Amino acid sequence: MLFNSYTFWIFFAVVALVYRFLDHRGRNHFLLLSSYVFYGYWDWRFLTLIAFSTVVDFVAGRRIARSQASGSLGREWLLASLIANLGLLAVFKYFGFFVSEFNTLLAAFGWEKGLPGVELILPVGISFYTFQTLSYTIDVYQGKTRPAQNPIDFAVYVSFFPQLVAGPIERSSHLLPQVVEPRPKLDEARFREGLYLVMGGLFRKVVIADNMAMIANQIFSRPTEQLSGAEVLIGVYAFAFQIYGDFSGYSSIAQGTAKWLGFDLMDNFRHPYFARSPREFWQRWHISLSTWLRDYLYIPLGGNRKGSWFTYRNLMITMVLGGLWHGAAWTFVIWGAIHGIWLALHRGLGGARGGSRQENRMVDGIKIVVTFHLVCLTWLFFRAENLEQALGMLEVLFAGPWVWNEALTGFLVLMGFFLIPLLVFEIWLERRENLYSLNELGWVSRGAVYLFILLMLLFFGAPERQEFIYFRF
Amino acid sequence: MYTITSNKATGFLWKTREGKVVLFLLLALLLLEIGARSFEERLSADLAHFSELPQAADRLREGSRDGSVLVIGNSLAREGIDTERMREAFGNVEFFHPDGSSVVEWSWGLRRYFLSQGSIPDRILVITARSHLVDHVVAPEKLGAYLVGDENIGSALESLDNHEATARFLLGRVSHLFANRSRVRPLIGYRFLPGFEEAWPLLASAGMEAQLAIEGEEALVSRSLVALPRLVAFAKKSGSELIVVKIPMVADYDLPDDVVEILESNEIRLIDLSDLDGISESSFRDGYHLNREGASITTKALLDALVNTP
Repeated sequence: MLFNSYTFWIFFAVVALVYRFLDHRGRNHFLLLSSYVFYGYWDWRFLTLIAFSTVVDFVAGRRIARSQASGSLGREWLLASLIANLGLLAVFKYFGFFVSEFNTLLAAFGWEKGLPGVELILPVGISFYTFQTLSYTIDVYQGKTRPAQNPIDFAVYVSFFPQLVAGPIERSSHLLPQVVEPRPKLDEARFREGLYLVMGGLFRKVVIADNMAMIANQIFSRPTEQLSGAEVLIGVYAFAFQIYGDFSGYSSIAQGTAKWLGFDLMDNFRHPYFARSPREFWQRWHISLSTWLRDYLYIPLGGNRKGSWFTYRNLMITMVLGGLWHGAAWTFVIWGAIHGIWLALHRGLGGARGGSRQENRMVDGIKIVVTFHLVCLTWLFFRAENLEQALGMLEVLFAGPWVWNEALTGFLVLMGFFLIPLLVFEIWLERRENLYSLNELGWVSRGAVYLFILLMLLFFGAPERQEFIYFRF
Repeated sequence: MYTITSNKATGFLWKTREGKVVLFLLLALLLLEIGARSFEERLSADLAHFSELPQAADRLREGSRDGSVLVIGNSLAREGIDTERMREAFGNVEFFHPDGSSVVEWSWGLRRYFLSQGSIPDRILVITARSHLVDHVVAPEKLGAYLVGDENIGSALESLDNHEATARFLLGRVSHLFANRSRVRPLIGYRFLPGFEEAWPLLASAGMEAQLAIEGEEALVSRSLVALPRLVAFAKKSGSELIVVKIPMVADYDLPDDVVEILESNEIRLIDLSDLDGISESSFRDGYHLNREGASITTKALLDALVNTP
């Protein structure tokens, strides 16, 4: 059930209607049921995984708290939670990859037989909800959050359908209290914010991402030797906006629908392509993952507390594992590694000390363009089917041939047609330093913007509906 | 037991500024819908074609049934078959060729505009390329708006294979604006966007190829053989002879095996024009549709086949 499908909106309308007439306890029971229906719509068998994760972490959280109350740390229960959640990920996401790589290694030494491989379907959103539940047990262990008292409340925290399959990855300290305590009514302000988030999210997904996907797919699906440098460049630009529109659009719709149900989810994106440095990019891109990695990986590894080399090492480990989180493939590992190197270099050159203060417009503009292109370079690895394609396209990009044709003009004009309204709007928001500035304008201005979005959704949605990229992760 | 909360917030929407935003959007959509219904025939030749179908059905019914022909297809048929030569040869000939349509649209449209009106031709020629007899290219909103008659809504909804298609069908039924939304992009693109003419066919074909690559030819065929038997059944019931015609394309092609099987088991005649002497790449105006010369060669070959083996 995709956010950009009619089925989802019919489902959501029914849920929101029934939800409105229930009391708080009833709402939580109904939310759990709705979330399981939402998830089971893909494949009901995966409900057992989410239920397993829920039971393990609910029990682990309570046992950790009980152990700590009686003077011990409860480390064994934390370990049980880590093994259960990371075990799920290892089996469903990485097992096939490691077996295949191991067999390749064995074959290099002449042992062709190798280990038997198992083809497992990757459960939708498994990386998201396992990270969300993991953060809960770690937070309970570290005393940052209190253990959930009610299994239904906890199950809603794990499976809350707007953000279940692609985030934002919410912390228990933020989301769980909203599940436990009665939530605010759907008043005008909440409806307005929800509408803004949903309309903006649909625009970024249906108009931006899906149209950019057509261009990126056309280029990335062709053999490298048929491509010119200009085509590779346009393909990478298109993918950069595809993945941004796709993922930020999803997050925004998740926030908007949650808002209508009385929940406040965190902002997951803050105009990442206006970042002036790699550090700032990660403060603006997939914020719920980057802060998760910072708090549960980078800082426990020592962060920047043990000198420069340890800091660089920690950055590299964090980013490589962050890359691997996205998928079991070398292209993701390299994507993460490039980001790690780039963050380390930026830090080594003193960039981390500068913070994100604004300089003059010209310098800021140059920094934004450079940062954007470095990010684009990493997207090439992220999008490529395999390492061979990524390297081949990289070679074409830098060594040519560079040929221009009418079709490329068409691609570029189409990109401008879709992206210019988005960029103009985001520049306006960026200048006002407020993601919700539109809500401060009068109803006529909002109505005009929404009418534009509605017409673009109606007339310029891509003919082929694309699945959300991050569902694969 | 859950309690039902009193809902003091009910009605807030219509008394607030955000309510005005929603009302403004609804009003704008309503006006656009009225505009679409009022001017659609002038905006698109294809929609004008739909509006002319009742008259075409009248002509077919009022003319002699002996030797009468209904040509069904899409833009490949519209541009690949010479209308005048067909009329010269058969007299009572009508055409039903909505843009971007395939066997799903043809079967319901045949029923709605012709057979249920008593306009029954002697022969029905179905002009197809490789994939038009399998029903994967479905535009349910177009079916809802223009092709399925009131009496067939239930059967049409049953034949749709998922909730998405059902929603689109129903939205198309109530909104012509929605049903025609896919026409706007090419309308604006071809007129105002430089390079669109070159870029759009590449993007559209890449999308179809990607779909084929993901789902595979077998999946395509196995889920898409509902409409062809329906078309065959409609033709048989009305007593018309159904003839399938393979139109030339740039590259050689075969119909899917399952399709051929259905044609053979129902003793449907297949006229293969896919490999004609005189047709080359230069016979296509855009790599897909035949040009005037290509259409002339194809029509002559079709007439020869129909006349020589009646």
